[in-house]
Amino acid sequence: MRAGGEKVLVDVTQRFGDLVVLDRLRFSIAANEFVCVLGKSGCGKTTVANLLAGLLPCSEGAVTIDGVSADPRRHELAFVFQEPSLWPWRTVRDNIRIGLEIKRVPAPELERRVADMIELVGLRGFETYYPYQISGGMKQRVAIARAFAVDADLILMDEPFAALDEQTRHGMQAEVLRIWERKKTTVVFVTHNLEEAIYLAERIIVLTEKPTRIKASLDVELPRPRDYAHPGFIALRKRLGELMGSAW
Amino acid sequence: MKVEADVLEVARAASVPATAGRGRSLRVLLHNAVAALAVLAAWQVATWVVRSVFFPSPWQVARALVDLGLNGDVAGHTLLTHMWWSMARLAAGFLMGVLLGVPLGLLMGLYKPLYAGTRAALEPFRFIPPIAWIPLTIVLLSGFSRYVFLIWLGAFFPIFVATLVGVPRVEPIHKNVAKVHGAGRWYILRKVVIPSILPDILGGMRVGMGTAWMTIVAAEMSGGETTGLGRMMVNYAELIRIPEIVVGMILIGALGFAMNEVLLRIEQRLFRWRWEVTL
Repeated sequence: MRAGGEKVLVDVTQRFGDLVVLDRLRFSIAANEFVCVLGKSGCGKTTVANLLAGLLPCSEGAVTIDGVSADPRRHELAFVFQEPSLWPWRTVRDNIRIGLEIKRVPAPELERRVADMIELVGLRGFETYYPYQISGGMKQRVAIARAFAVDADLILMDEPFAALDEQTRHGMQAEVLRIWERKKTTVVFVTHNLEEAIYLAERIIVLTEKPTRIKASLDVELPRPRDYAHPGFIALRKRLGELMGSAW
Repeated sequence: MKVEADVLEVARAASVPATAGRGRSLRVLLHNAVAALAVLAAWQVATWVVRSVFFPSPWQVARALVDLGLNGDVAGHTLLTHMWWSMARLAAGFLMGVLLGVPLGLLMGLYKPLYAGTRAALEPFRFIPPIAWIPLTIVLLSGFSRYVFLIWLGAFFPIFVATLVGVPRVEPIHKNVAKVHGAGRWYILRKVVIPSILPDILGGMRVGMGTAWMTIVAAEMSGGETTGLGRMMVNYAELIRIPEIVVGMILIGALGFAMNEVLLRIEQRLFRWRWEVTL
């Protein structure tokens, strides 16, 4: 745990009918922390993200942000989905506006922030393109710009790069870190990919299989930018592999 | 470097249809002109073969067209008057179909119980063809109101149904994007649901336009007023003047085609964001 106070507190049990998906899952996140939630597919990672984003009501317990129950209307939340989530009828620029538009940010401020984000994710010149006209990697960059455009209390990323090819994915990981370092935002990044988690996270929360609990919480203290060949990286990867069980 | 590659990719995607499109559309235009001329030629040849007073040649029909256009029909109404009234009735009935069909489709699409609880009362009306309403309307309504009512019946259901079935097909993820940022229902309706189903609504409108057009001709044939293309054709049928009847038929086809083209152009303009435009 990093100094800076606990910004987000999670203490939830989640059931779908009789199925217990999350079993008293408790953890906290510090302000501006980059946390990766790591788990096998089907372990309820997406449920965690949806709960944090307020897309799903908790069956038991609560998610609080700055001591207040998480509420999309009160807090600035943002979500980068794995599936294509850009509105196809809107241009790149108008997609990035969505969060600001909903929070009724005044026009000059809104335009400035959209322009900043376009610059920051390197999409200048593509403002008026529609999603169908740009590549998968660029679409995800727009989704990231949309999330970081609001000064979010918390940004959720649910395997945002899973559908991208290896090379594009590495580029995007570096890009997310660069933006996060610039914007100083609290990020929860859900993934099943060990290297991705080690490359990105300040702390990794490892989940068990269903009913899901926390298996381990590991601080990652490797120097950035992280090197896949660094002995510390390899050691941590091995450790995580053991925690997650077989296959890795 | 990645961005540069993307730039090239995008530039290629954007420029290819633009340059190739013009040449292709010219060629398509040419093909259509040739096909239309071929139909005319076949018709002409057929009149030489059959040679009957009941089978007018294109030339006779063209003369009837000019005569009707300039001098008017037996009652003194010119073609323009007939077309104007047909179109005015159609526009009024169609507009009512849109104004009632879209909101009602949205409402029932968003609140499932409303549709589930009323469908047995509502759906049977869909299967009564507008033409089957003509006898009733002859008794109950007259003139303009009768035509508008019948056209509304024809246009309403395709538009209503297209809207209704479009609503549940809105991508949940597109709504979730708005929800995460704290959007209310009204915002989601205006900014997500409606833009998502607009292509469905426009599709329904084109189907509705076809039904409305079918209905107007039948409605006008039922009498009531002395104007309208349908009325004009019936008048000339009573006089056994076939070229004038054919003029009416051709105009109905041409106007319907023109209106469909207008709707298609609106669709293409509005939905540039879609890969494929429905045809």
